[in-house]
Amino acid sequence: MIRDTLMPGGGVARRPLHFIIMGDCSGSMKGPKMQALNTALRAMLPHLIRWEREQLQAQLLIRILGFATEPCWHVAEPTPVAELNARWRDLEYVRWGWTNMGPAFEAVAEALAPERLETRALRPAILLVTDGLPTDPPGGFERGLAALTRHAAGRLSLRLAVAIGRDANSEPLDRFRSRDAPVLIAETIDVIVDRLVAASIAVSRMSEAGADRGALAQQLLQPEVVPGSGLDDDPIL
Amino acid sequence: MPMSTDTSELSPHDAQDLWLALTASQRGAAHQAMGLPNQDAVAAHQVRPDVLVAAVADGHGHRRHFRSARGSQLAVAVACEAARELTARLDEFEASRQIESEALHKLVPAITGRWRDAVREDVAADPFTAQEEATRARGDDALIAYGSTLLLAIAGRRWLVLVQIGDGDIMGIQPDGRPLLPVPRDPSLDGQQTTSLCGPRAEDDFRAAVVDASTTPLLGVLLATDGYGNAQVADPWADAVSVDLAELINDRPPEWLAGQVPLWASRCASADGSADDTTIALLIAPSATGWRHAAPEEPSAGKVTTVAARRPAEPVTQPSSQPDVMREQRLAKSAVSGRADARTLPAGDLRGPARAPADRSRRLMVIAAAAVVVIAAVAAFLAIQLSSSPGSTRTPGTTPTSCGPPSATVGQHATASATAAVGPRAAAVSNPCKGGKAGG
Repeated sequence: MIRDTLMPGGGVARRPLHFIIMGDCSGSMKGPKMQALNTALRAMLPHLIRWEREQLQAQLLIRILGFATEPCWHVAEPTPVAELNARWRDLEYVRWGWTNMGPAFEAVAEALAPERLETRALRPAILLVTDGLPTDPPGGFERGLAALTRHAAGRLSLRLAVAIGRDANSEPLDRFRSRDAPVLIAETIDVIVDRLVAASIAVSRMSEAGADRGALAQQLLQPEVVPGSGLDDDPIL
Repeated sequence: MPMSTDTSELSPHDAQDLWLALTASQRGAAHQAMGLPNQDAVAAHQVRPDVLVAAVADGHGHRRHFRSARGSQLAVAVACEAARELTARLDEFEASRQIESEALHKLVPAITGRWRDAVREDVAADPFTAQEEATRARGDDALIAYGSTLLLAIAGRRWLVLVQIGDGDIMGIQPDGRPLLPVPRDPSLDGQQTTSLCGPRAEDDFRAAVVDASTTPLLGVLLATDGYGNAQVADPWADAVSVDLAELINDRPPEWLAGQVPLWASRCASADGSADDTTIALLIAPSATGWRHAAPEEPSAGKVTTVAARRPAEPVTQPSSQPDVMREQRLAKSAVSGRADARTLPAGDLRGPARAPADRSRRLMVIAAAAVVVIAAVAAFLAIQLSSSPGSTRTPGTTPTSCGPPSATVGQHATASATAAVGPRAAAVSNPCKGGKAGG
């Protein structure tokens, strides 16, 4: 039991864990995929709330970036996961929207710039969910990725991707992911929820100090698929 | 755990010139939950009558460094031992550059060499178990299992010598409250990885600094493992912590500080803080406390060690004679704050030099008195509101604060608060500090 004490410096707090979700809102996400993505994001939040409650190291702060032809912050400020759960609103697809990832990476890079991140923050986590190949103009994807990895926080961030549909598991996603995180494939809509929940929890656990990231990544690649999202079992594409 | 002290054989007069080391180490909440030991270590020794040596070390948390708790213990032991050789010749030096060169080219190799020898001796005496062998990565040197950081301070008559490898913080506390961060920053420390004694080029990864106390007086020096800095709500935290420590060092006796240091470590190591092992060595300069220094007579509870070394009086900072009420309020608030509470001190005060203590105290007393008036007014208002309740009676000797008869209890409280607010003891009455001012 810790007694009250005069704490120099203004007090203590848990270390922030910034978790940025990049959701594909391009035109091809129209319909069941967008619905599944929103369902998955909503389903993910209670798991993250529980994870935050059970672990001892981090305060989880979430931001959500929707991207299509241009990126657009859906949740721009780092938001405690419990607050986000209480005032959730769905992402919407952009009619005729492209899948330009470069500008989205640049937007995330800006959010993780040294002057905008606490020095004591844990390694940030970025989860990219997309159903297609990047449609950036030549060099755009590379420019964005270079911007993301320019500073330490982006370079060291835990970057994990969920590809909706096997075709979405492209070489660019492999370049996006961090070395210790896999690309997960959600081949059917009903698997999106499970993949996203598993991915988000794994990302959080990997961010803990001393975590065995390799073992966690292996667990992610061999998940127990538990259907139960209640969505139609429609194959994707 | 008992407090040990090397000052017990010194006369009170001798104790006036002592550097004090207050140390504490606390296992992190995350380590506790995972069944891991405290992998930090701390040591402090008076190696000469006028020189104090203190070291803290942080054994790495990754499972690859499965004997890092031993590695950190060995690190602080060999560092303090190796420092003795430099302290014997400390007075011979005329320039800080000479000492820095000596530290990097003789002290550091002595530390790394002895640490490697100590690790190999430990492995020879207690070979890796089959389970530990299974944990070792292929090709890992035995040193890897013992990986640790190290922060060392040699506090002498004139010179303060600092060497560091890996993360953690060494912060000087200047008389005006500003922090002094003399050890060069290592750009390779990214918050995720650290340089280490177990690294192949550990000697090159050490950083060093020398402070000349005759030109740069300090009230104290803080050495801390990263569990301390990572727990601080202020970001960056050096300014905020330094200004508070300067005031506490000036206002409070060493015995009080000795009781607080373990609590600070506990707060940082808790699940409200970094949850990481946290170790603090707070070295207090005689210039800060010489006028009332005395060796603690009785050991107090808690994992704290006090070691002292003699040093002639340096520039003296006049301590405040009045309690700093605002600071007390802020510090008391911080004691109960859980997560990311904003610091209440205005940003301007965070970075600017501290004002003259007497002026500040007067101003803060006025503010405190005003605060008490407001509180009294609120209390009176509540008394008025509650006094309309049925069955209340007026108590002789109390002053009604409304046209209606107040209840006895509420009326007494309201009157007492109002009296305190306008009386000369308003600041003392309003002081919410639980610890109270124990001395000075």
